[in-house]
Amino acid sequence: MKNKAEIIKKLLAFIVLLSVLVFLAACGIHFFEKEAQPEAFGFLLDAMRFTLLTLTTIGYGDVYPITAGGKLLTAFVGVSGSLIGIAFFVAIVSGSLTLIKKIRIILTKTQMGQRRG
Amino acid sequence: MDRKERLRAIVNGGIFSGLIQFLILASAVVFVIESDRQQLEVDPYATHFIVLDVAFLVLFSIEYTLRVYIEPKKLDFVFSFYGLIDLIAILPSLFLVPGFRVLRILRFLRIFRVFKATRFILAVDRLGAALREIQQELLALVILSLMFVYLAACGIHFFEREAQPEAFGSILDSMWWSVVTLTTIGYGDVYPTTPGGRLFTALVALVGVGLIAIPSGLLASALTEARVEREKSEEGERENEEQG
Repeated sequence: MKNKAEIIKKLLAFIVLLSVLVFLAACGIHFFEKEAQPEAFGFLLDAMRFTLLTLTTIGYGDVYPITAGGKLLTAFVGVSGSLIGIAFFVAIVSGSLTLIKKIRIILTKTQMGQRRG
Repeated sequence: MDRKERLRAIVNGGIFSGLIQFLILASAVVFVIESDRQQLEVDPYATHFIVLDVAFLVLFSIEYTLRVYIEPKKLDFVFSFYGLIDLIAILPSLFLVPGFRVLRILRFLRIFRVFKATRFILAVDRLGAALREIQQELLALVILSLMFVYLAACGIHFFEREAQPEAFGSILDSMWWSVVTLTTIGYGDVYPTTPGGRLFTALVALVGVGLIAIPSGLLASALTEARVEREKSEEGERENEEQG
């Protein structure tokens, strides 16, 4: 029970951190691109959609940055965000899966021990 | 003194910090809506946004003053991590000049105050510890990846510069393509058209994507290790207690 709560806490902390970063990155892209492409990056929610599509490495390509600053920021966000972000998510989930497996092994061992005794 | 302590209990309490978190989120929502209205030539609600902005400024300023007031060591708080974030958050709004208004996004840094809540401290600590443990490997990988991005850009520049000078004419332009390809994002705004360039892209994608995927494996093992080690130390403590 304690471990389960901890995994949820960790995921929650991760989600909060990630959404703050998505928001800040979207603000940055919005700042760089709003004048060059007002219809694609003028509204912050559109910029957030673009940021999410980049972070998940989906990249439909319907909108993309064209200014030098926007490209630089996108490259930075794309590399650090998608790699570290996805890495953390994979790490947390796989870490908890390993843990669950270990607990199950311990449980079966103790059950077998009880039967023998 | 008594009143100060009562005030401290309120400010550090759950209701007050919940209210502040709500205010930060509300100001973020207002910021998003306002970005849409900037497209309009004449915005009938322009004054509403200014009023809201001033209201947020006043509320956050009051909160900051309260936090400084209740602190016994005022200077220590002002120059602490959270104290500085709080100060940075109010400063940009003080200048309502257009150029400085962009800096209002700094206000949302304050949402990191969430991590001050005790239930998050352990989780964030462990994530930090795992990152610290593999920082050497990560640094090596970052350098390797940068080299790979550069080499891929040079290669595609060589193959494509004549066919598409506007997209691959310089190494810098080619680097935009190589970052988008290596991270598997692939917007599709620039892509190779020559047979040589396509073959090169296929090779780069097969090798490069593997290279860039290593950090997630590293982090996963570091996090699991950190957890196993903590469990071991907890078990050791328990045994010590039983013996003692």
